[in-house]
Amino acid sequence: MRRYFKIYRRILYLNFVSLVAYRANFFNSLISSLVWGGFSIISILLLTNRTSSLFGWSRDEIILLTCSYSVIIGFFHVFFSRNFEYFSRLVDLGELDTLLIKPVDSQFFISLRYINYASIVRVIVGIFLVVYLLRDTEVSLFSVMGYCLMMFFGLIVLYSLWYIITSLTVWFSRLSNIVEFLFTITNVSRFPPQMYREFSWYVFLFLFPLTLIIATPTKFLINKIDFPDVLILIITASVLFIVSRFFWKLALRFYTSASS
Amino acid sequence: MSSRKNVHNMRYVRMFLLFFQDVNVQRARSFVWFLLSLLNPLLLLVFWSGVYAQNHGMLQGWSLSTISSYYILLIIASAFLDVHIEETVAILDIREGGLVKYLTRPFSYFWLMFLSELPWRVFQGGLGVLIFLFFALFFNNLIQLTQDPVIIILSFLVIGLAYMLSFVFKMILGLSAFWVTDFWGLQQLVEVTALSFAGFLMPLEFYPKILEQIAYILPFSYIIYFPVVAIQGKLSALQLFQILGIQALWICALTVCYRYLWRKGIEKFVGVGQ
Amino acid sequence: MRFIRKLLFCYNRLNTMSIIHVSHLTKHYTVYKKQPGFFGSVKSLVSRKSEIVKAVEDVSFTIDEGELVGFIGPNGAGKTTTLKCLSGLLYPTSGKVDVLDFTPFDRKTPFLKQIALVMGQKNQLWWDLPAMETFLLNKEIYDIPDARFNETVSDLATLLDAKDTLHVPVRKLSLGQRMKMELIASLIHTPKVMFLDEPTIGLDVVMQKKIREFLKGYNEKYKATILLTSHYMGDVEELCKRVIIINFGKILYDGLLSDLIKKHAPYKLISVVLREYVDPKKLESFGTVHTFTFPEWVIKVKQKDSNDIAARILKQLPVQDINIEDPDIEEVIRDVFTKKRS
Repeated sequence: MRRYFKIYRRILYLNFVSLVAYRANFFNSLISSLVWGGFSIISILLLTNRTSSLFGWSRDEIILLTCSYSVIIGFFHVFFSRNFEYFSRLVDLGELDTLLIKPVDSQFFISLRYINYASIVRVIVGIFLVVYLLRDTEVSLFSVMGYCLMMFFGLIVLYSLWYIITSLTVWFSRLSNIVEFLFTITNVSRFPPQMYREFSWYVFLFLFPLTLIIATPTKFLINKIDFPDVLILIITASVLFIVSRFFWKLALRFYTSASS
Repeated sequence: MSSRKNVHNMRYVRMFLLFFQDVNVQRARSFVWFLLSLLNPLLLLVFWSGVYAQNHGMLQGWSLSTISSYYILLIIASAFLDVHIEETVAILDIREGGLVKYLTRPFSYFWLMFLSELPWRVFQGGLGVLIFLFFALFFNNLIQLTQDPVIIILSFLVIGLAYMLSFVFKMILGLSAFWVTDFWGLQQLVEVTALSFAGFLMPLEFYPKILEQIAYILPFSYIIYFPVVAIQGKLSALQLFQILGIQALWICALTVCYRYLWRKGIEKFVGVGQ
Repeated sequence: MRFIRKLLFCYNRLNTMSIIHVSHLTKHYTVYKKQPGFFGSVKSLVSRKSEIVKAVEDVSFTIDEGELVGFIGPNGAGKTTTLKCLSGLLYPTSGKVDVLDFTPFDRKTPFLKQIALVMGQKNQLWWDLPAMETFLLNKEIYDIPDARFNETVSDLATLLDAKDTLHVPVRKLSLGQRMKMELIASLIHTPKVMFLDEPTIGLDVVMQKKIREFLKGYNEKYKATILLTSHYMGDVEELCKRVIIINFGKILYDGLLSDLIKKHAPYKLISVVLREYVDPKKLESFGTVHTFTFPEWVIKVKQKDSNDIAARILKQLPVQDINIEDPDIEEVIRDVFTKKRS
């Protein structure tokens, strides 16, 4: 609805003005983003130091995976991270009440209220590196579009998983550190899906949605498109998103019957 | 005289039990923290088993069982030796002024913090040991430990000193909040450095030479890497004595540093007011 | 005379539309108890004792448009729970709640656009930005047209005497100024129904008075229905003609405040600080001794006699300080339970 567009436009503006008010914080976030981005890339370089190919992917392709990870996690940090970190305070400090009184979809508002503009630098660096790594390869417009589209669905998968698990803090408000745990889980997506398949089928099945998030879009760029994977990613994204909404409604029902 | 000392020491025991209760109450939260220590090494373990499946054999003197026991022991090391007191010190006590209530009490702040942190580390270390036993029982081929009793004793000493080193270091990091406006920025920087040079990623032996040398100069490897490698039996008794020596040096240097910073910090804290 | 007044009251109620209609509202919830100590926490791993708390028990009342009703009772009486049920934040265990012809719990957008809930310490203002920015965000959320928005902000700011702090970053404001901004933020959509939970708690006397004046003014200007909870007699006295007393989840009294005072607390408390010791027996002649711990002495006297008795005390006893006070609302309520007459 138009109203939601206007609300989000105002949210974008508010966060921007906040940023200007606290410039020091912005620069700190910027540096922090760069440092973590650098760390994730250096760590994959070190891990693949002695191998030229692994799990059916060349070393460059594995590094490409990590760079794509930078892009997607960058977007995630920009739009969602702060909101998930803030989540535990909602229940503890009773701010959820203030939110539920407003005529706005609670999931929408909770998920998108705060923006971390500084993390865009991680996206930029990631894209730079992706372009650099693919400088000698032929990349069609179709591949790039497929890449972007798949990244979008991957982002939805990530968001939905996070939202479902973070909703648990409504029941277990002590588990606010679950956000840290989710970051660790997200790391799973940095590695080729084959790695899990070779290790153990059970593990692979269990982690399946995560393994697709980055691998599927990246395959577009290296022309190894896997259409079944594409379909599965889109379906997983849709299903998980619906589940996240359903689960949140459940959490709200609990909150409204049990709190005082 | 001795009975008074007993009562004095009993205080600390009682404090420890009190803090342990706190962990018990927050055991779910503590478990989530443990999952962090558990998942990263496991993920890397999966990675390396794939690499070894391809290479069939040794990589720079490390077999599959050596490297998998490295990561499994890393779980315990990460759960037990990675102290997390700096946030409490910097934010709760210094930034928000909670320190005041400690200044008027006849307890050493250092040891109070030590006792409050220990139960958390013991609890999570215990969970790590459980995981280790699980692997030892069901995946015996992945475990490789030393059997030499002398090495084992020395290794436990290394672990003990590693804990002390970890604790003093993090206390100093916490004290930085007396002067540093952006504590979180500093903390992130330290965290990334520790992740890079403590052996969390992979055995430091696998690093390029320059990075390996840097890792041996910085204190982080003496907190995580060397305890793990010691228990694995990769170091001789002589080397272990050397490690102990370096750890002791670091602990002394950092303790002196801590005392100085504490004094200066308190002056500033009390002078400025809350 | 009183009979005719009561008749008019009932006639009025039948004629005007009731905006809030609560019928047999009940709210229970379970609380888990843990035993203290180390072994207690170990035990709680295996079994937890649960207890049902009856927060609200069979509560019924009706409120008409434009009424300013005080919902009073001691802490834990069920006031906040009732408010939350009325605003849709809590799901009733049983009973029917109707506000503006909506079921609050459905939390439909048209319903939410017409109500406001203001709870003491909760804040919605963006900390680093001027309050005006939060107002603009709420403007979009409530879909308020520009002209009406500007008018409302201007009116509210004037009523609250806060025009000069609209563009100051919230973190630079004092607690009182912040409360004013919170109020404006909550009322930017000129709601028809306002629920206030302890609006003056934690504020100094000056601020309390300002807030009360504001609420009265708002009620008159916008004809808004206001339901406020408080355990301060001052709030209730100044603002509410009608009060609902609640305790242990049950309604004990629902009617005019003046009737309540006349019926249950037709007395005043005179507290005296004596300069020298006086035989307690002598003090009894003035009125019922409430408390006596030398040099402080408090007696209960009939409302209409309070001034005379105070004058007599000043004349006949060595008084250092004297004060005439209204009965504490907690006492009034306690009296209401025990049906004491003085």
